Amino acid sequence: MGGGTSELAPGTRMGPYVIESTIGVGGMATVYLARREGLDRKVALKTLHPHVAAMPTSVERFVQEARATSALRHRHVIEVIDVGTAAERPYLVMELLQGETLADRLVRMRRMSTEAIADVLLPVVSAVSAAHASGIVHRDLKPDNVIVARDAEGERPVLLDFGISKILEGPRSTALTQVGQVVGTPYYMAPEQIRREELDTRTDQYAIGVILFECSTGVRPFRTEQSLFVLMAEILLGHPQLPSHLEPSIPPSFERLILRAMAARREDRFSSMNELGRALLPFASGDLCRRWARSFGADPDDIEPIAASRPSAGALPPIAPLSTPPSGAFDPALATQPAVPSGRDPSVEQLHLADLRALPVLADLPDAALEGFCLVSSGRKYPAGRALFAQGASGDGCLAILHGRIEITKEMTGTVTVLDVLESGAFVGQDALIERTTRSVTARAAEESLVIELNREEMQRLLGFHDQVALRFLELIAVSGIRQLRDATKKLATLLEERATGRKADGSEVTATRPLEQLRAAVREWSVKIEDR
Amino acid sequence: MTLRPDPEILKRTAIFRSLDESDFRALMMCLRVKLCAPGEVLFREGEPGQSMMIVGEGTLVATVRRKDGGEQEINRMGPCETIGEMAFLDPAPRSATVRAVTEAAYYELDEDGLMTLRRRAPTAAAALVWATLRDVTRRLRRIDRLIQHELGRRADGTPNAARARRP
Repeated sequence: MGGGTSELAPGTRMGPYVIESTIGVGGMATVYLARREGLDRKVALKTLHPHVAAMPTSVERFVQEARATSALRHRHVIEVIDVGTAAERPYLVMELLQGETLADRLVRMRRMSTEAIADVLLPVVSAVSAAHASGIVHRDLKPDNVIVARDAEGERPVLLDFGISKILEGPRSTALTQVGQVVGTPYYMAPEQIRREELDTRTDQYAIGVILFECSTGVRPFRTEQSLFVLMAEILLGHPQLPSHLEPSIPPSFERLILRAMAARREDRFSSMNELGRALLPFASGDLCRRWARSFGADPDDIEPIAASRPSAGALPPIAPLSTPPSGAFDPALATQPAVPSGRDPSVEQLHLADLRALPVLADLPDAALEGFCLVSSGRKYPAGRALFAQGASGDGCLAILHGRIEITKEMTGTVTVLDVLESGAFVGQDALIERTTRSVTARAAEESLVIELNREEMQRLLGFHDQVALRFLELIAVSGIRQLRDATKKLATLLEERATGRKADGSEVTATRPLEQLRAAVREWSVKIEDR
Repeated sequence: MTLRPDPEILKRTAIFRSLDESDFRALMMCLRVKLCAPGEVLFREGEPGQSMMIVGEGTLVATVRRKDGGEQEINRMGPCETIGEMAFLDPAPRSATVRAVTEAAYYELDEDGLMTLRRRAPTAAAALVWATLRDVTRRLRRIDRLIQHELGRRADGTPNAARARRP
């Protein structure tokens, strides 16, 4: 069985580049060592896995990575040399770096002195600051995305992977990384990323804070292995263990710096990456401190160096292994998302265990799963008489009814007919979940009703957390669609029967136009497909 | 029988195309490979249906009983095609009999398999459900249009074409 990554064999040509070997395989892409034909230059060539490339937004992100990275000319941002497409696989060509990632270094050293940390991270902070100045938020800063390269001038920390970066206020940014779409590595995610709020430069600062924490203590601030929900809850609550409790040698001022950068409230962080850089300067080695001072707007002579910590001897707690990070897009159709619906938000309600326990379909799931869902989702309470959506309006999602009753009406030629009254456990408007559509009915709260609104990005977000509750909702929505399709097929079969006999069940005469064979063929097709295709 | 279906077939199956390697491996653990001889029946019309199948090798045929007692072929299926993914999510009697035309191999995902898949690879389970939902939604829209069209024309009082053609 061939790998799903379909790795390129040595000798494969990608445009003018020839693959020599594999450098690394990630979840989304593989990086190869390649050589430019006719030249001696070796490069790093990155291609998306074919199944990833099949998702339209992945390619867009890939192109965005190239665009964002090449827009930044900074010694500590990886240099993009070329982009292209070969055999329908887009590729990105970057300078080849010799060295190790910061993640590898942490595995090797477990933790670093404050001086070593400052020396590696000051250039990274400078690179991120430059990105911010160009209107780009990286959004996925983590030790894996920093390579400590070695070149003629010594160590050169280099920032990689602008794959999910967001170009602030760029016209194209919204479709790819809008609010609601969680992208990034959970351990380094800021609370605002989990809450799906609009992100800004302070989001990157949070991740730098987590990296500082990890480098100085050897563990991540939030590292539960219980579940992603617990992890996210911990991040949202924002009370990490004090770094000095884990590593007593950490100077109090360094600890304050870490905790400020990763403050749960954005307002409590540094005002900018430059300010964080200035705070980090006194911990750097003399040379580096002087070299970087001016770029952070500081006078090198004003900086009072702070003695470096030496990691204390003794056993460290084991480093928490990475559990599987949320896998992002599982379906290309999910990735191209319309805007988040708005304007029908009577009141946002915190969900409680009892709300979800009201649904029999979730009965077999443990409390922890439901509580986790409550943490990352919310309900909406509609007062009696309030429309959830109106016939003719554009819709991009469906609603799960937790409590209350929802009346479904349809207006035809001036007459409003009540089609159904739905209760707890039912879904409304599920066809819009697949693609934005015009609502064919009006849904109105017949009494005060609590619902969960699930649109595509919300579903993707929840499923991205490997959430069993979201999966169960999705299955329910599918089952409800299947039943509707069966009913519709029966209805069409009845129409066909009526056409054939010219009589309705009540004996009245049928008038119709569609050629009989056409209808008959349609029913045959549907009834077969329903169960067996 | 020596047939061994190529797992690559699964990767080309519409509902699994978006899976990454680890989800795909998890899926493989939840599937059973089954072989059948020419003429062998996988299931009969009217039997309860609770599993879905993906054809790996060979050709299968779906038939329905006619009112006169005869059988009518309604579909032929080959590698990469799926059978019964809706009955799988929402058990219902099989609407056709499916049997092997040639020696055939197929993958089967049953209820236990789905339970395991949900636990081990929720993203794979979600991809499967999502693909089914998308398929169902599109079919539903088309069939609804047919129904609306038919009802609309009746409401207009257009003469019954079938009857009008009668002598």
